[in-house]
Amino acid sequence: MAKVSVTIEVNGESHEVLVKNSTTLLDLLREELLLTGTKKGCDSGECGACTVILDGKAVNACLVLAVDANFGKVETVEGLGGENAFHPLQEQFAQHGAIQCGYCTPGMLMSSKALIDRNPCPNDMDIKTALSGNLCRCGGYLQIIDAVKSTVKK
Amino acid sequence: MELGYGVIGKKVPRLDALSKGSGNVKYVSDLYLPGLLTGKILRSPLPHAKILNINISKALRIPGVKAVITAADTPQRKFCLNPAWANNMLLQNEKVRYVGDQVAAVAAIDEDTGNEALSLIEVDYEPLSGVFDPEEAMLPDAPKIHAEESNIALHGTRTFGDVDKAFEEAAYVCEGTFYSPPLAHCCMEPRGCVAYYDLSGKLTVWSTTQTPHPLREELSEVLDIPQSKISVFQAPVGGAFGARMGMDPIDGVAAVLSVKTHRPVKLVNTREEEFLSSRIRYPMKIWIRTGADKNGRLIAQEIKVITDNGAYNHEGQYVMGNAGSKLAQLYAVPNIRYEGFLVYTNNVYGGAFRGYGNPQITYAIEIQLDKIAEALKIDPAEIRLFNANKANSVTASGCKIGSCGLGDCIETVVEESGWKDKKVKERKSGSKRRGIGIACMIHGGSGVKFFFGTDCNSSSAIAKINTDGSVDILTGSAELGQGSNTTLAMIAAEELGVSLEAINIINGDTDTTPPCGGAWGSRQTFMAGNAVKYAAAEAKDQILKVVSDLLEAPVEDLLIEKGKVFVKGSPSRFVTVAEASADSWRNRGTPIVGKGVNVDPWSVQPDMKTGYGNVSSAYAFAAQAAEVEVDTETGCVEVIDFWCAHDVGKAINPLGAEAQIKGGVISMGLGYALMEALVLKNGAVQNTNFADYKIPTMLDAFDVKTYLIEPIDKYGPFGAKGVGEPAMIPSAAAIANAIHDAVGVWINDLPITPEKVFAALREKNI
Amino acid sequence: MQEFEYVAPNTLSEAISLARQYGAGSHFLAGGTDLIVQMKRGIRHPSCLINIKTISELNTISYSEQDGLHIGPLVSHNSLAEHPMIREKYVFLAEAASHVGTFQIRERGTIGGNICNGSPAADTISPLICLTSKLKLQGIGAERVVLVEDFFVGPQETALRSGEILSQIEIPTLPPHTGTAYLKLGKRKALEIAIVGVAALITLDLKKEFCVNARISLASVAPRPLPCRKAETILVGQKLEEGIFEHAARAAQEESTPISDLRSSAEYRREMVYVLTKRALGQASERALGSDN
Repeated sequence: MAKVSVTIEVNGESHEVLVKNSTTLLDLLREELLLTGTKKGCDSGECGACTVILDGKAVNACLVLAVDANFGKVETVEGLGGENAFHPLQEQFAQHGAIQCGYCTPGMLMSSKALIDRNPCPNDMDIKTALSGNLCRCGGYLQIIDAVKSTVKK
Repeated sequence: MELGYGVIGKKVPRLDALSKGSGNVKYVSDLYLPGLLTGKILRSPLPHAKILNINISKALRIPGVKAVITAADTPQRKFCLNPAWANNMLLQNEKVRYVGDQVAAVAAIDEDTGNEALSLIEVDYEPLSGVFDPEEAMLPDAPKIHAEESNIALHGTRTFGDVDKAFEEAAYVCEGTFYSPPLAHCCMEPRGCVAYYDLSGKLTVWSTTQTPHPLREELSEVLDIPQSKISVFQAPVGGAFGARMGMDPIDGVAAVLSVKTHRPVKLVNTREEEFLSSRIRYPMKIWIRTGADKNGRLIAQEIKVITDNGAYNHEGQYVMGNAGSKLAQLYAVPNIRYEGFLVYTNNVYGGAFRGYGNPQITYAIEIQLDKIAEALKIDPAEIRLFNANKANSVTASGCKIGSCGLGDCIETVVEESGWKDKKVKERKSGSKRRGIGIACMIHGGSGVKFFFGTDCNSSSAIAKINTDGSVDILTGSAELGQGSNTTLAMIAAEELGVSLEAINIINGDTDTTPPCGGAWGSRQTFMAGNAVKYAAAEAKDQILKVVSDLLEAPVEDLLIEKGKVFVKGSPSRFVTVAEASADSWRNRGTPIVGKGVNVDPWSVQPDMKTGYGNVSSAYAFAAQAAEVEVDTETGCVEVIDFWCAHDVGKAINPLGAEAQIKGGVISMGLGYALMEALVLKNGAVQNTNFADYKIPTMLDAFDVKTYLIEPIDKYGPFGAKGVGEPAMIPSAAAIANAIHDAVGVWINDLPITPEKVFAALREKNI
Repeated sequence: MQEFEYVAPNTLSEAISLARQYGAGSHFLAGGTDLIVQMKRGIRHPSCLINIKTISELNTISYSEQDGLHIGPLVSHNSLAEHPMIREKYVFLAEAASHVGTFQIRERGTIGGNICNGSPAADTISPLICLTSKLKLQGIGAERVVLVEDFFVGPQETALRSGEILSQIEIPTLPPHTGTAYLKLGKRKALEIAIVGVAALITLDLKKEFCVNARISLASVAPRPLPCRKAETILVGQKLEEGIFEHAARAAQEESTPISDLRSSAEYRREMVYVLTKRALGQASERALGSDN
């Protein structure tokens, strides 16, 4: 089947990419744009490792077709920090021991960013709910909650 | 005399945290090399069948398919972590023995092409009867899975003391059967590998392994390529927990595909393959009997374990042996017997999984102990204190317990949890009832010696002090996300007297680092840590000799602090470590390089006949308490609060240790207790996704209070012992005992689902 | 995934024409949180996906005392869960929506998708049944309205015809002194498909003495979402005295036909129908008693 062109803005930069209809946003990011920060954990929308912010919402990139994200705005972990600085979330995650193997971390960070973008004062339950779709097997949950709370305080 | 530590004991964020948090760290599936191909494995849909014929011609015709291989394309050597037990192959040549078994593989230009090729490989199978229950597999007329006459891969018994006599004399005897199901590791990163066999005949493998040096050996053996022609790089790993111990068939198959194509091949499991066909926690049926005197002193304990080995050997004999060995190690029981059957079935086979048989046996031991406590009307915490092993003692099986903080651990959780008030004196009515439970554990804190049948629990390291004062530490250890690199850096910095920022850890590269057993058995802090400490100490000696000459002072009078070397009491007259290193190299022609080898001299191989011997240099202990609320109408259990006291010897990095403990309890302990089990039907795993195989989510998290007990081990680096596995070993038992406290039922069969609790309550008319 | 055609119409009539044109092999794409997974697992194989997300008229929520609540099929679960008016007036619908999957799934997944996927375990369907909701189904030149409980034929099978689209969900205004509840039983608190789900609605008379209307609907205990008529009749016209919820819950239990599967045995499900129905009725009546209007 012929490929189609999609235009997508990722971390503020516009890209035009040829994809198949079946290509997911996750595969577009990782395979076409070589932005491998967003991870593939299950490819079924269950683990959250592929969480990105699409048009302001935290979504599983593995369940979004690239063609469906045409003209969309995507934020990934690579765009979190600035040129020479880390995002406060990244710093707080590191400070609180919230990063162990690191595989769930990009997804956790993007879900956290989406949360504090829409709710600057989340309580514990807000944080847990917003991150309910991000699985962590190393068990960083408590440290991650503390890291998000610290970020908000600052 | 407790020295003031400059670096260790401080809460240090992991050195790799920010790079992981920025998305810049490349895991195996993130790697790209020019000409990279995608590898896929064809897996058997049948649990037991002869392979009559494999037709790959249609698959080969698809454009974009660069290789299709079967067993004939490999050296057809059998492999196993311990070669003496080898009966698995990269690709099976005569039979498949479980659903998911490897039959063929392809290398293609992309995933879709690879999948298409797989669908066109035609395999003629002759189905054979399968057997899925180990007890059925033990029967003489069961289908034979391997060429041997019996499906019993191993049957062994160990006895210490006079068990039968002790049971006769016991005032109270308790007996019960427990079951631990097959479990999946659920590492967030699936298993995978990139292999590149270049035109010069050099094989380079980037793997998610947790044992780079042993993997190199296994690859060499199974591929018939000399070790010197194989480089293994351990890529950053997205969780391991034992899943990545030793070679996975993926590593070898990717290598063969690369040999065939002379192109790099990336082979990564789908999540479905992770659940369907990857090594699991060994399922165990444990019959256990314990005898106590009238005061609650445990005088006899015996178990009979039937372990489902699955289709192939991997580490079953060690896991089962480790389980049995706990009988005398945790409590001072003088008469013990453990009998184990390791049995082949046509199920997916087992491997190392955090705790290595210990969570299974601890569940049985700790629940039975609570039953004894109840019968004898002794408080469960008291009976544990009473029976706890003590420091500087030898167990009935010959284990030399050096440092032991078990008593402190128990007392700490009793105190901090409000145990005395919360322990139910009179069971309440009402649909929601609370209770509190306790469980303890012991685990090797330094790796164990019964591994591989050889003295293989060793580590080595090299410390190079550069002319600018920065330090390279080369270690064969593996960073899995458990923080070992940070811990090793802290040990090196402390030993050398330099800042943490000066240390550069180089690990996971078999070309440049000296051998190390790898990350397992909670051994790296102890084994690799000591190796690093020795290497740093040797480098430090070399620095001190140079400065002794420069300052014209005896070596014994010199001190290094914050990178400055000076005579004690005269800090203003100093030579920096950088200056000393530069002087040594430029003026004396001698680079500063220290070597450290830790062969773990304080433990031994247990006697092959009796099993007697000190298998580990150090033992880690813990006590955990759980408070739960049980909904008696639904059987649902909620963990309200949790306390963990862990004897870690000395916490090199308290932040790291606490993260391990909290993480282990919530993400694994809770899951093991209440929700995790692979469901197999005729050998095929039914729940092959995260929706149906349940691990805890953030909404399931509860508060975990941790207390690090530091009795300072004599042999550990700065007194430290391991903590990685202990974190989740007693958690399920603590929860089970708390449920009993709340509603008076014990569930011997894991996981403790609401349905099981409901049925048990119904039976008791609650 | 098998390859497919992809089109993104801008209007409802365009979408319906395309569905007619591509026939039975076409499938509407809303959030995709069920559909894309099914396509990856080879359970569904549409030859054409018709993306309806750009049809803004399908993504609205409106309410008036006269016409009741109208929800477009593209409204996401999180939008429902967080909507102040829905939380105020139809709280169990918001609660059910907040239980779907995970946060990311709720950001993207839609109520229309939940309904058209037709799973007997779906969280949002049970409250819709209790609300006597109607579904507006539009085809070319034709429109029909179906009672939501009649929309489900079997597991993952609905009465939606080829060339038809669910264009609106219509929910009547609730009379005063109405309380609702949705309870879901699972082994953990997120990423769960209900072992049993129960939605309950109770309306009291003006003096708050008698039950004048009761609706109960169950998830995961039958091949389709299950309204419990017999259980409802036990309550209607009765004073809410001790034992009446238990009585109704027993009836609901008898009406249910659960099966054993990976998640649970049939026996346990049956027992939990009783417990959850009793509790949901209790909570709904408490809310009805506590209501001001």
